[in-house]
Amino acid sequence: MAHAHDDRRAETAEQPELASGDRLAFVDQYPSAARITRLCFGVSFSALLVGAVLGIVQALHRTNVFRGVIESSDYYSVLTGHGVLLALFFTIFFLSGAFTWGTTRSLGRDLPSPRFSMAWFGLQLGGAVAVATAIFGGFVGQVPFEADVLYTFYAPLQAHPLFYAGLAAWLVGTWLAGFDWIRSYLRWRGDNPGERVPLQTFMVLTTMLMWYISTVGVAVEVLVFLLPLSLGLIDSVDPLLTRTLFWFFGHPVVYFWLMPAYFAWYTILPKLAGGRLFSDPLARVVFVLFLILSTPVGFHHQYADPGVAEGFKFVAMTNTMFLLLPSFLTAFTVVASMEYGARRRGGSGYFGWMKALPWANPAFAGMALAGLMFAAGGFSGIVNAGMNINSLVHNTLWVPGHFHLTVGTASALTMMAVSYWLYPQITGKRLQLYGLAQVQPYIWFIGMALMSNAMHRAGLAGVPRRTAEPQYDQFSFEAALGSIPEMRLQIAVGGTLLTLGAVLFGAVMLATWFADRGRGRLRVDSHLPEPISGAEDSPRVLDNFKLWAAVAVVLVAIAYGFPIFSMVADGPFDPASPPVPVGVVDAALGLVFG
Amino acid sequence: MKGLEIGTVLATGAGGGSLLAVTVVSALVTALAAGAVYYYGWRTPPEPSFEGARTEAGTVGDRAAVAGTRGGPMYESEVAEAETESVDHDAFDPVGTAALLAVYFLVVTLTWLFMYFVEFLGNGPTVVG
Amino acid sequence: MHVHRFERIWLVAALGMIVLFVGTVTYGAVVAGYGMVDAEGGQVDSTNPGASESFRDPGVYEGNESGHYDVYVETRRFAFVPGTAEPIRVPAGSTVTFHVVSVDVLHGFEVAGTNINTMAIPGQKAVVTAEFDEPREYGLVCNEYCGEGHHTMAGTLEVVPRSEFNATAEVSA
Repeated sequence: MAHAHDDRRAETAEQPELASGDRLAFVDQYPSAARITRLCFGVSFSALLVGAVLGIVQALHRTNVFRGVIESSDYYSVLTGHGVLLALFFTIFFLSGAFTWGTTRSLGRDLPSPRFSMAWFGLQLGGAVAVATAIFGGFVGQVPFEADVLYTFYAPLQAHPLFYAGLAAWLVGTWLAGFDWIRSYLRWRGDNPGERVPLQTFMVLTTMLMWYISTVGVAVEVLVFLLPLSLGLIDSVDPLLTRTLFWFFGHPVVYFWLMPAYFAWYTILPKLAGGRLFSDPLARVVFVLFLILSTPVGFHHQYADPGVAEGFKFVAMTNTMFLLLPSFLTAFTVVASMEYGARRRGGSGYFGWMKALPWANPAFAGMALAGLMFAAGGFSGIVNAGMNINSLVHNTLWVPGHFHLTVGTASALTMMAVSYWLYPQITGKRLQLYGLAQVQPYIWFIGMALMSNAMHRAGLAGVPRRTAEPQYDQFSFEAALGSIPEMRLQIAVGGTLLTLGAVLFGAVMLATWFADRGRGRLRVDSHLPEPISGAEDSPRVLDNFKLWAAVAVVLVAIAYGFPIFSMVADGPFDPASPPVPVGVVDAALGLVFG
Repeated sequence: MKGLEIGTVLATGAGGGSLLAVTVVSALVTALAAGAVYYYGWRTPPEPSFEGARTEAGTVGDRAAVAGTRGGPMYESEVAEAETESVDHDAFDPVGTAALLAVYFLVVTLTWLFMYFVEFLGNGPTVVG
Repeated sequence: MHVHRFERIWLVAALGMIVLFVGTVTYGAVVAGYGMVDAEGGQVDSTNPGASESFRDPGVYEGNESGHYDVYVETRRFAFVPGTAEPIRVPAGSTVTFHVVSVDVLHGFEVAGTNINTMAIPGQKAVVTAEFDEPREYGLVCNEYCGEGHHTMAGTLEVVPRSEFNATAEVSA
């Protein structure tokens, strides 16, 4: 069978030195792309470190282990910062860097216009700085910047206009980044008619198409409603409509966190395991399924909302359950790819093969542990998705328990693991403090296991999320499994370990950044082996982006058309709810509540 | 996790103060453990040979002019031979994957049924509308 | 497209799990009769719900059938009315319908540790009905962030023995 050799031509076009045995590192082969990726990673890792510090403050505060850092009324500024910095900036700046690398590498061409690329990076960065200023301004009494609205910024709670303007700017920056990668692809397509789209580029394109469709919701919410409201251009908004527009975006955004992780698990993880991707066609199918199913499920975040008919919630529930399919398929393909590698390395038996995997390689260990944890996080997500059973867990601590397993580990730990492998290639420096890197994924995993299991159980007892002091005078929570004090302890200890994990990662990256380039070789190579079942085995229809985008739009129209129409029919601003600025009124009330 | 058990006993007794102490102690113990692992176990792996250091003249040509600050361009490590061989895509049966997924299937199905029928439907006042 | 035998089996198993999940949820809705919060509560004025047809002054009211009570709850920054200043009291062995509104921002209304868990959205009325069999005390929690005092927003729901429930004193007109 000649499959493994089919793409050789493309490989050799990228790496003319392959024949002589020397492959130039990415930093020297594609300097523009490498610079953009470095910049994106720099912002991403900085956001991670600040967000992690905010996280430990929260963990110790709400468990009543240590409340000396902040007042409870300031907890919500910390929480807003933690959510926005980690869930929007750490993850999506990382995606911007990784996708720049992936398209450049797989298409074999550098960015078409370095200036355009710097422009979108600058716009994203400027927007992020504006948002951060608004949020952190909440800690400083003398400045007008406030954004105690949390990562979901529900109306009629209102932040300073800078918060909304910054978000809008950052969002446009991500749209432009997508155009950059699409343009690179189109130029490649012009030179390579009839070729199958390289897998990494395929994943980038499907992810960005999903992003364009899904961000329409939040763009309308911010630009038509919330920014004008905060500027005083309109008096009131309909909170149900703005909330619905947010969740139009709010569910697909989690796939914007997950698809980069899948991108890594499908294309990089098999190589690190010493194996090969089990099936390229199945990987394409999975990404197409995400493109078409990610957005028409948003109502599963609104199961407890009045004003939304049960029928729409039921449709969202069935769509969501089918959205499990690409993740279930991924489990098979990714584990099989690793198993192939383990057996080549000498592993044997039904379960014993796992011992043969390179657990001492931090890039491998991080991704494998992330995938393992995702299997658990997926389950708690199924409970969230189950419409009526959701009432058991809605807005309880179960929900953060769930998403710390998914975005907090499957995405975050994968991103850190990928960095151990990729950062040397985009800087030309060897990874420093290698021993710390080896230990870090395990510390993260243990910390998350402790914190998240306690959060899940506390949620079942009714402990609320997003609350500075979930200890009430009027009643106490009853735990079915374990005890409330023990859960608080696990959250505090787990959170501390996680912060340690983030700090270790930061130390490794900083040390590598400051290291000398030196001469010679990296310890890693970017060669990605051919899949066992390659691109040529996958039906061409999978590469038909226009078709899948059209299907996605139709499904969104079915899921959202009628509900949004009925919310807007009585007036897009009705039932009219005036804004409630946070910080100003609250500061006065603070005299009472302290 | 002995530290945790002791911690639980101490913590369930009193309030925030001892929880703080236990958290700090647990974090320190873990940091020490991590340090011990680092010091005695994993260390920086041996340096690969430097024979790949290229001069600016010759095959590399103008790429070197673009490349990095000191020392010229950086190269990747050798590609493992196993990655460039051809493979027969019918030759591999992922039995280990099948075994793991069979376990996962059972865990998810049984846990779901427990969560739904015991934790949810069996919970508190019955909601009817 | 070459799909390995094992992958085909797993695909069937995955679809089977999905069908199981959709099926149990449907069972819960249709057979067990669990009703979701939905649009049947109608809309109210977003800052003055009492002025609307579908809402009344906060309090406990006797329902249309015997053994049925309607509790009208306002959520505000940072209290449940009733619930915080005075507990909501209903008799054991009754069916209670909660009508929940907000006068300012999003709030949550959760009877802690139970399935009674709904959002309160300005402009909308949430309706949840539950059967209370045994006398018990429950906590009320606001589980949706509503501002700096969010963590102080709590209350109690007391399900009292029939004999202790004084209808004339406790129930509003």
